[in-house]
Amino acid sequence: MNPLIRGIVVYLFLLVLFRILGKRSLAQITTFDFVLLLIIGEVTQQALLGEDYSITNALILIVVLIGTDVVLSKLKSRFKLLDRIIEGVPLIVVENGKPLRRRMKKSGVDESDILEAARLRFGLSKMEQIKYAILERDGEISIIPS
Amino acid sequence: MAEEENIEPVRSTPSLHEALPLQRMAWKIQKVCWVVIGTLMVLIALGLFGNGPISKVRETKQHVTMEYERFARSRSAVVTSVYISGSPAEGGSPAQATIGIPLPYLSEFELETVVPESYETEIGNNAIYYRFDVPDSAVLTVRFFSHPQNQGSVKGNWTVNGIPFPVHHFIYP
Repeated sequence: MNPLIRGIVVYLFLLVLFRILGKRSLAQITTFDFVLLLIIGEVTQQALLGEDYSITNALILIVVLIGTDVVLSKLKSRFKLLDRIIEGVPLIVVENGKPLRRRMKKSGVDESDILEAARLRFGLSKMEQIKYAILERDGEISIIPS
Repeated sequence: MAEEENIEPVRSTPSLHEALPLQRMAWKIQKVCWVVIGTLMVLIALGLFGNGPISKVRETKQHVTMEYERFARSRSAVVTSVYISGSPAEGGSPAQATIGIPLPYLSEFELETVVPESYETEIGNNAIYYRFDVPDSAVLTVRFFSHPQNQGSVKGNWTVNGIPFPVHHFIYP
């Protein structure tokens, strides 16, 4: 298969797969998740290179992957809807100290995650001290204290 | 009503664009994708992409059985096995088996090895013929180890002692 098609297919497949996994999947990375990522990297490398280990093929694929990323970045900055579809949107999970349970459940966030973020960033210990907790696009939880 | 429709409205938002309809749609798509991934895992286990019960084809005609993979992946190893039951030939000479593979079919594969080696190979009638001695009252097993070179549907009509065995593979990229 042509390295251009191979590179684009693998790029898009990984993009869709990690989008399906959800925002929180990679935000809290455990040791095992890290090992899993390394394995995925190894498998992807084989799929990308096939049996062609030449430096030309490697350079072509690097150019294809970076090129695809640049094109997609440009498209995302031009079309906001595409940006929201690919990167997701922020979601409020706590409002005025009240956890929004259904939102939390849907996005795989629990109270301990929010309290952990509150402790780490502001030294807050109670839910009531949080005005807003927002699940950001990268899966991190940002806290706005009361 | 779907769970996505029931999420809590927020009365006063900080300045951020939540885009809830998009979020709801993303959750729904995510749910569908999880089902698709689950289904795919079952199908993979069954052999949709090769090496499983729905991929293995076993066909028996007279004293010959042929076994091959219906689904294979480009450049991965594919084994086609032919089992021939020995039947003494007239005059007491050892029985022989001739396996014919069409050349257009073979051009889609890189044939790595044939086990056991044939005592004679001949090309004719747009096919390659491998000849083997079949031991008396025993089963001769011939295995063809190959690697598909292209993708898509590959068809060919193998023959074993003149008995046709239509072979059809689907090769994934």
